[in-house]
Amino acid sequence: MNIKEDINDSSINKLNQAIDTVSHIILGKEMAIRLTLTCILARGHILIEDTPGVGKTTLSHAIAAVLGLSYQRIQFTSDLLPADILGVSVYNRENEAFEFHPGPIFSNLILADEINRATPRTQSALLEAMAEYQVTIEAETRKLSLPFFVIATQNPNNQVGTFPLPESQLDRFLMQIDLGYPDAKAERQLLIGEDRRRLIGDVRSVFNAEELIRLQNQVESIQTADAILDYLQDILEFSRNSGNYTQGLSPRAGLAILHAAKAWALLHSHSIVLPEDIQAILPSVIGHRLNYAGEDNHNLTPAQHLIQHVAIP
Amino acid sequence: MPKIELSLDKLVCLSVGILLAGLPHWPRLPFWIPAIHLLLIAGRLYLPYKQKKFWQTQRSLIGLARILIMIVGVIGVYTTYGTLTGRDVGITLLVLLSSLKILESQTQRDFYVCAYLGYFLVITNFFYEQTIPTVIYMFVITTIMTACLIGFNDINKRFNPIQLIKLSSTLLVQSVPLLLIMFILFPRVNGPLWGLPEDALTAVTGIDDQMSPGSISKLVQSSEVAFRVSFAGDIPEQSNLYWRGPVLWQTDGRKWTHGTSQNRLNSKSVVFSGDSTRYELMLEPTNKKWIFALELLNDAPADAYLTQDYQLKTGKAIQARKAYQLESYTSYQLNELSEDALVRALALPETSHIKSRDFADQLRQQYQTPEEIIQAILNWFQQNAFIYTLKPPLLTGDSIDEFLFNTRQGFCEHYAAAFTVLMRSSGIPARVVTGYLGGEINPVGDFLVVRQYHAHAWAEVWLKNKGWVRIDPTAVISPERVDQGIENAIPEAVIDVPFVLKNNSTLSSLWQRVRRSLDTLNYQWSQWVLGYGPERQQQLLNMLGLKAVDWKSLTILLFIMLGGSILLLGLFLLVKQPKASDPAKRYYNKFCSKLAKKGFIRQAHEGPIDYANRVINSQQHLAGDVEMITRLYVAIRYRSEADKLAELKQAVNTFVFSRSHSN
Repeated sequence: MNIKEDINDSSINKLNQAIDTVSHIILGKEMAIRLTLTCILARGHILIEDTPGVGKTTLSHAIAAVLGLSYQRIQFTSDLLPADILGVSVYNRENEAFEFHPGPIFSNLILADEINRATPRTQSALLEAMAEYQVTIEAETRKLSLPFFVIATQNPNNQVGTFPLPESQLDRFLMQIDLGYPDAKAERQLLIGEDRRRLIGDVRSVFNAEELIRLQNQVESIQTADAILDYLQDILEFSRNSGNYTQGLSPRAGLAILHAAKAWALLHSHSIVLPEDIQAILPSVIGHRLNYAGEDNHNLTPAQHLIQHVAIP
Repeated sequence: MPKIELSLDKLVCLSVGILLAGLPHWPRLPFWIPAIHLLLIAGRLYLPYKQKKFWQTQRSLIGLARILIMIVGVIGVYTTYGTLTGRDVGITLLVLLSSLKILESQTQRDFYVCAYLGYFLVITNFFYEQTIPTVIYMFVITTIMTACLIGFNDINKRFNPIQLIKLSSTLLVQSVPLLLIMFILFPRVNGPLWGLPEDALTAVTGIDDQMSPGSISKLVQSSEVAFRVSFAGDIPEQSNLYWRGPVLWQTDGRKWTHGTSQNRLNSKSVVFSGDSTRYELMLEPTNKKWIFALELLNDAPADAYLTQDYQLKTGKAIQARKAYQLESYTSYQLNELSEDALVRALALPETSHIKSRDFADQLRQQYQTPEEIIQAILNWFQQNAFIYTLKPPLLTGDSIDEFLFNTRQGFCEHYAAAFTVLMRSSGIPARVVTGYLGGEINPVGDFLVVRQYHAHAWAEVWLKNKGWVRIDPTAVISPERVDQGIENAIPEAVIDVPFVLKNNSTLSSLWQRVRRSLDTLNYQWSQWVLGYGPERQQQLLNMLGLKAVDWKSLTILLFIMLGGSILLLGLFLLVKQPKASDPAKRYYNKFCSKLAKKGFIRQAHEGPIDYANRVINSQQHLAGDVEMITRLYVAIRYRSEADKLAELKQAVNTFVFSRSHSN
């Protein structure tokens, strides 16, 4: 069954069309697409951790295309400098003045590819911009263009030449997901189908930035009943006091869960948050924030374990 | 096993548990064992447990010390006891070795072993005492030990010691139903719950089978319980409560003993009259082979026999509380007297009691019949200022003559002995009977408690046509002793109220009441817990409607009950929906229960939509109802539409799980 979809908003309908469109490009990854859009609606940023070649770039490119957002890709390497991201002032001899050349960060959607290959200094330049929605260059503060959304990808940390993101930086990402390999059916379609990049070129934008900002504002109006807040608090409490995890979830993580759950509900045209909404987004919201204490002999991820051990009040 | 960083509080908890478990044994152990015990445990606590280095570098040294202490300890135990087997030695070694184990404990496994040792040490207390306080004490220790075990497994240090204790108490309380089932149904064998070794009851106070001046008055200073009696009907009058114990025939002038071996009673030569008194007598362990019974017993119970002088005896010394079902008649005529018994009932040592014999000769010339002589002697006692006292002057020389003609102060054994000597001197067959007189009625439990201070001695004389007649010379000197009990005759003898409370009537009566309630509790404890043998078990099962169950079916029943109760508990936990404060949640839980009974158990973490989908997927025909109820519930609980509550209530109440037709 499905509870009644009680929001009738043309933008949401368009958003769902967009999901369909992207699903035709990135095959068999509808959940990842939905989570990414949820993340955008919740004004968060997403981190995709996976091995190269599973479609991270294609996904971000496709989303930018359907949403009609300006798109920039920054390939992180160990010699990338902060100025390569933020921009730089260059002396213009004609005007006899310094002229600012904005970096790739001045776009709506940034794909920060292989973010953990850059040095911590460069990483933090991006991460600060993500948190503040503005950058300060040579004592001048410049607003970023809204909506601003970063899809960062990182290679698994055990690969050579990586600078792992510290926990405090990871916390800046609302979600972390992995794409994983496509299933057999999707893979077959991929093999026989057309070139994905060319498909993106054909995508017609159904959306614009203003609509997206309006939807982002609408997330706030999603209702959360006491029962849902109780459930959320039980989750936080269990993560802190059950002794199963090294560190409990922070209040910021609690807000992140709530916000993501609201965005998820909106994306599904629901005006209320249900326990299922929380459970849907929980693995990607807390996956990078929660670790098992002691030996990891579980066959569940910490987030799955958490879900199974907290009763819905 | 991994080495664990045992936090100090858990180590302390374990040490305290082991110490307390062994504590009741300390007075019984050679003095140096508790000393070593304490020293080793203190040493373990002092040794810097955090400095792993210490343990690694000094390992061989500590190992050597341990072996040395053990060898010295075992040799010490052997020289103290002269053996390495037996109860006391076993426990001594256990206490010694448990402290050594604590000293060497390093790995998780070691600590487990220590905790199990603690459990074992706790149980050994049963070898000495089986009273209620002991059991409570043991429960406390068990709680501590269990808390330690939980603590060892609490790797993330989630619980503080108080929480650990709480958790382990909860565990123990939860195990009580299983404990009860095991206790009630476990097949029983005859004998006490815990077989006691030979040396268990070496120093028990009580009536002996010999009597000399001062032996009973000494006994009277103890207020220990001798036995408890519950009567089937009314309690007989105080003056009829003569509890017959050893019958003494032979005297050496000072000490009275039974003399030759006692023969079993072959043919009864007794005539009873009046109504019989039925009662259950619960005897405290005496380590002796006789049982006290109200005069005069009709028949011996199953595992005992009557002697020719109507003493009730058993084949084995009584080493545990035991109950006997008895029947007595307080009015009787006992005619039993054989030829050789007549000789023994007149025998006196050749050269003793000169004055008494002279006195008896005078009486014999003065009076004709034995009855007259008896009366004359009793009158003489009465008229010559004899005093009934607990603290008579010491008798030197010929104790009977000294008492009769000099000191004239004595307790019951003095009077009984002197009277019997006078009888025999006058040619009347007589013997001394020892036992108890009276008893204290406990109104709380409606039973009679006979304590050591009720000990008494009296005489029996043989009269031609009346048989053996009980004459209690004490009755002449102190009639209150017989009619109102020793509590009134010699109040200072009975120390049942502490000195400080004596002057306050409210407090002392309160004290009495508390004492009686405790005594009742103790009595019930003996009757139903310690004395829970095959008969009581059968009795209880009969009450439950199970007749003639043998041990095999009992074992099967036991396992069925155990399995059943665990199953019930599991089922309860599975189906139970926690009571919710929100009415919507309550109705929804009811709905879930209805589905749970048909196999659709909602997981605690399963959201309403997911649950509904799961049900609908396999039971398509229920889709309408399930969807409606779920929708209502979601609306009320998550959308705050409280006005739909009545609708939900009705929907849930009318919901019936029907099998689809296609199934």
